Amino acid sequence: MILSWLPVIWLDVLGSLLTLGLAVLCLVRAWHWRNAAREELFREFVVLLTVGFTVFAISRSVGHLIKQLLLFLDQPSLWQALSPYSGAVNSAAFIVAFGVSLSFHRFQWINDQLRRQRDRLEEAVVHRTAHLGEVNRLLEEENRARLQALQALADERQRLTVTLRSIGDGVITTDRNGRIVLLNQVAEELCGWPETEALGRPLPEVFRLVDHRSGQAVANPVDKVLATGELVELANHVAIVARDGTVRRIADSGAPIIDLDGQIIGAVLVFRDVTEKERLVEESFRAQKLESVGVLAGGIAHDFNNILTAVYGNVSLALRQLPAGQPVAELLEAAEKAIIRASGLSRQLLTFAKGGAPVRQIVRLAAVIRESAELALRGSNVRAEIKIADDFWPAEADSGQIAQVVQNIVVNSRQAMAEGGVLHLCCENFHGSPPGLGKGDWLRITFADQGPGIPAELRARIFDPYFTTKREGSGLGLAICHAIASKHDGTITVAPNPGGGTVFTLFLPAATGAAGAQAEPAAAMPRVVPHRVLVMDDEPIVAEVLRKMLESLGHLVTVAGDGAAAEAAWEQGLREGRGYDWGILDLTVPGGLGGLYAVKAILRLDPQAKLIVASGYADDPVLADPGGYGFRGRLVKPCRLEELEAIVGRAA
Amino acid sequence: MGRWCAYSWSGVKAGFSVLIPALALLLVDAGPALAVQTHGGAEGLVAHQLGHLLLLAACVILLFHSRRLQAEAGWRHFRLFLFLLIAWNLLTFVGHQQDEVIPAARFLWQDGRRVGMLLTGPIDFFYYLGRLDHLLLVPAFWFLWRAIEGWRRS
Repeated sequence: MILSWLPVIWLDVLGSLLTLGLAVLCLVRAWHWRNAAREELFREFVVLLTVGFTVFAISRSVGHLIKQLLLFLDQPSLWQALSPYSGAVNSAAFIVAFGVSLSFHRFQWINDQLRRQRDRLEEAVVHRTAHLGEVNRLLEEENRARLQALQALADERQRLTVTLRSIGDGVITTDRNGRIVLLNQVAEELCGWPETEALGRPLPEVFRLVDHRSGQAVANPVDKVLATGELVELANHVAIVARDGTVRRIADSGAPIIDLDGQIIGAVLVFRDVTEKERLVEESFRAQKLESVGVLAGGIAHDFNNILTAVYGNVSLALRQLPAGQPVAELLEAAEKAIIRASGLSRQLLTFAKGGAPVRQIVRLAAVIRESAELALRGSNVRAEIKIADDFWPAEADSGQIAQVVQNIVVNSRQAMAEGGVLHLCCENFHGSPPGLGKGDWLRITFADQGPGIPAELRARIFDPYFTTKREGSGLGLAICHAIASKHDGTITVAPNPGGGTVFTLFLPAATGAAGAQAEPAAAMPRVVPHRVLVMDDEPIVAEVLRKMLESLGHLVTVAGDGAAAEAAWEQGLREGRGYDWGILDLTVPGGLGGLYAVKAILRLDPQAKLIVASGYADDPVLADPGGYGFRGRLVKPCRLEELEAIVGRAA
Repeated sequence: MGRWCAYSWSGVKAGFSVLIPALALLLVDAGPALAVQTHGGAEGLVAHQLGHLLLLAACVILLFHSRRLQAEAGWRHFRLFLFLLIAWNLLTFVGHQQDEVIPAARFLWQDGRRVGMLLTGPIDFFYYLGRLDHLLLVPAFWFLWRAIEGWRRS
């Protein structure tokens, strides 16, 4: 069988072209692949292997194409000449491919090692990355916690700042060198330094302390705090001098600021203005002192008054019984005047008595003031210039006590103007707020003298009882004035007179009702039938003198020692059909039943009984309003015979 | 890095240790080659056949060592390339040997060109098939191209 050779030729040409194309394509692709990762050794090797195969393929294909071309061109001899070279190249390519393939296993092993190392490395990287991620997460959490802590710290700091700003006390903190690092709002106000200016300054420059009595500088407490590390409190009487010179009394304490290591890193001062508190304390102290003195004076005056009552009554009776023109009458009258003076002193003391109250009535005080002032200045070289407003309001006051106030102040002024002078006394209406009192209608009575004045350091003490700068003074005059003004719901102040001297100002509340009629001079008492009078007093000498005085007026007198005895006597009188017309009952019976018990008991027995309350406590509320307690009238001991006669009358 | 260089140099040295004696053999013992492309003359059939054997050995070595890599991208096609190249190698090796022994009378000539072949038996037919070796070589390089594409993609 004969087969055509033409398919062989065509397949050879076509196959060579395809092989050549594929080989070139492989070569190009392999080269690109190799360049994509030149660091990979195995890839380099595979590319080298591919190059070996493709060089073989290219050389063979080119050789076959040249052969077919030369044969087609009838140049077999030329092909015969070239053919060995083409074949040799093919053989060389075979050998190269073989040589390279021998190293395949080694390169593969290297590649595996590299891969393993790379995998391990990647695993380590993954592990490390995960670890770093975890560390990062922890750091983020820590950072978040730190931010929260910072926020909480900022909130706390803001809260502390607000607290420090809002606190009522002044607060200053310093560093360990005593320089200011914080100053709250109250401290700013008390020191007079804004915080912005005070920061960094030494404490004594801003926080100036003095003794408010002497004005001497006081040691700064921070130095001691920093030196000792202990809490330090300021002594009494310490005041702070503000930047503008204002002086305020303060209470202060200093404490060290200690850090977590126990080291002192500064000091904190807490202080407050106690000026007003100290003033109130001093006023309270003065009031307590007055009250104590009042109790003491009341006790003494009560006994003293009883004695005076007996002496006064007896002298009064003796004068009545003396025939006219007897020289001894002058002696008795002198004694009576001395008793009246002693009685006045006793009344002044009794003004302090506990529970004492003025016997207040709505009165016009113009005449009382004028007469009291003129009386006090009579015989002196001081002249009074008195101005009283035409529409001077009435007051609800005890005119006797007000007269006493006027006399005391005027006497004080007279003594201040020993060389003579003019006392300006002005009475006017005032609508407003006196010092320490509310707004309203007030009577303002001012006494301006031309004396040397009162030193400022003594001015606050002149109303203290027994405080006096005069050798002959009792120290009670102005204290009594203060007490009387207070009991009238008013006040009294003292101030320097701009023109020299002193000005006392008395404020009394104005009354809204109409003033009562001025007391008329006592008219001649009508004669009465002899009365049966029951006298109750625990002091026998008082009871005895009252008995004598009443009997001298022609009355029949029975004496009882206390309320129970008076009740029994009244009951007996009623039972026996010879009841009493009058009862004079002592208000206070130490250790027994007094007048208040007796009045209730007797009124139960005899609702029509006419009872008089008698007491040395002229300021007692019962004496101020005897009708309110069932009495028909009052008798202030010691009393004169005329006063008794005005009450019960003289028997015909 | 130095370790990898040492490995690569040892591989190259191993390659040269085979290459150089082979080249020397070709130069010393080159004979006439008259196959598809006859390899006689200055080249010599023995040297060329020896090259074929070396190529065959190279393919077998590569097939053996790449057996673990079949699952990886590109290597399956590379192994198919090697199989086809081995087949082509055997075919052409036999063809080169037949060129030496086949009588010239088997071929028909016209104007100095070979136009046909007289088939007298299976050996003649095998010889004729051997002239169609591109039926193996073209697919082989097509698989090589696919293998390279696979490596690139991976």
